Amino acid sequence: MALKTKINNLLKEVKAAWAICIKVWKDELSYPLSVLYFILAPILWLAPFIIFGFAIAGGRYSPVLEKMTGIGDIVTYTSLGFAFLGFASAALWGTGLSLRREQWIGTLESVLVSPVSRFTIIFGQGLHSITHTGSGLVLQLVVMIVVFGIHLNLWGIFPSLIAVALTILAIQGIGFMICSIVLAVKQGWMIIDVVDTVFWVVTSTAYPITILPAFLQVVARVSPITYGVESFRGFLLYGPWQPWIWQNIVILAVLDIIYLTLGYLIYLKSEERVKKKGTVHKF
Amino acid sequence: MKNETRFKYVLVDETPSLGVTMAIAWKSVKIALRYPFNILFWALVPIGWIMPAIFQGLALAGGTMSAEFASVAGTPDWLSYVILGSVLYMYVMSAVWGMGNALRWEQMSGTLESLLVSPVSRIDILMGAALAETVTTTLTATVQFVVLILIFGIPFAFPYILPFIVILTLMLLAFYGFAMAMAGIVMIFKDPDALTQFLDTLLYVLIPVRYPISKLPYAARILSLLIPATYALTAIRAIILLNKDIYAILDMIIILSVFTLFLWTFGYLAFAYAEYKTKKSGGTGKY
Repeated sequence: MALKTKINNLLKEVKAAWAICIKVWKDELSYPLSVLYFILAPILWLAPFIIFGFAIAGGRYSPVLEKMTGIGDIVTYTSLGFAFLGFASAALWGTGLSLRREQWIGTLESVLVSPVSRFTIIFGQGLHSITHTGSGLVLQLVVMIVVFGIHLNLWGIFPSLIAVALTILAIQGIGFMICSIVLAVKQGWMIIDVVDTVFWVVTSTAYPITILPAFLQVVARVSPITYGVESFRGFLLYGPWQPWIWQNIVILAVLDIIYLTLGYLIYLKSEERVKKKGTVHKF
Repeated sequence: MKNETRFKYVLVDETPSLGVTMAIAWKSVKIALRYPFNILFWALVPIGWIMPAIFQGLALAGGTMSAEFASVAGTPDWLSYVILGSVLYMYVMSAVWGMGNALRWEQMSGTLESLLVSPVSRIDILMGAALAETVTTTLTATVQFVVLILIFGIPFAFPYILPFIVILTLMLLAFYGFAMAMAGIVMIFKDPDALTQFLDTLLYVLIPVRYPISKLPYAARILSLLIPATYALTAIRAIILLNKDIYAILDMIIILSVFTLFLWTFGYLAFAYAEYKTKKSGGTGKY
């Protein structure tokens, strides 16, 4: 009986998260220019890296990159990395700013006293980011295949979704930590921008992490996106049979547990503090 | 006919004053300096935005020189090329975002209406905002430039400082003409974030920040030639990286001067028209 109640409660939370996701989609679709920009932007962000790569290497192929990564095609290496990081980055912004958005429009207090878990609120916003940027990711991949003729291993498509899902979970954990800072200091975009910039620097999107200085390599090794992007690219290029990719997936799963637990605990502490100070509604 | 007369009235209602421009600029600089963390943020975080390009260059070329790059850019030193382009791009960003944001700030603070009915020229209002932007951007760009030079140990030389200043000033003037039109868009659409972000991203692709425009597809190259920053960045690199003197870049100076004249006329008319439309619809105070 207790189990049935728990399942029912969980289903209700999932329903609430979905309702939040739909609400944010409705908000977003009322600004068609923004939607258009966010569809085109990932391709425009990628373009300078591809063109710069061509200018430096004198063409699409770089022997130096191949020696370091096993992949000499600049377009394949960079576009897969970029598609994944763009997706992860948008999820980070979506989760990190979830409470701040409610603060801006003056509904945070109402949302926090509604009978749903606050993690459902954050997850609902994150779900919107995932569906939003997920469609961008698919679009980018289609453009890359059609325009640049990238060859993907079809057997790797399903396993690559495991990499995506596990990375999103870890980002939710990091997002909880950012939410706790946003609740306390309000100006969330700066914090997210700094964290996001660090991810863009240390993730192996257009270069392997071995090119980074030692201290940045340490940061890269504790970043879930590093393992996510390597697994994603590995599955899509080599299929699901490479043991090193599954090793990355295991590390990613361990990082998920660590980041989700830490994020959850830090968020609870921060919310308790903000409620005690009575500054939930201030912005 | 009635509308045309009123728009003409908006246009003749101008008596520019340097004192007012300076007062508006000083007010904006004072507000900016009240948020020192913001200045620190804008000085340091964009360095992180440059880093991926630098690491990518290292991963593809195996060093800071590339013979392939030399064949299209005139210099094998892609690192100096990218650093210079990226720091100068801060000025383009400030032109695209700054003046519009300054008006948006007035809108959000509820002071735009008071400002527009005060007996000052709108040229003063816009130039005051532009001047303040130039000061804060120069501050952040200098910090970035120094930090990048220290990190990568690049011995930049400024053998011809005067042409460098002339070109930078002309680029700023041309872009601030364009920024007036952006300010007009803010007046009408209030929060044109998507458009501004799109322009910012598109300009980054089109102008020679990381690579010469000869690497762009043909259609994009044509668009690039319609942007003043393309000429400014090319000329500044010619002075600093290729050691050219002012005579070698005279053609660029002439092109930038023509751009400045055109963009100021266009920008001013666009802003005046936006002001007229907003006042007519009674939406000046709305945000």
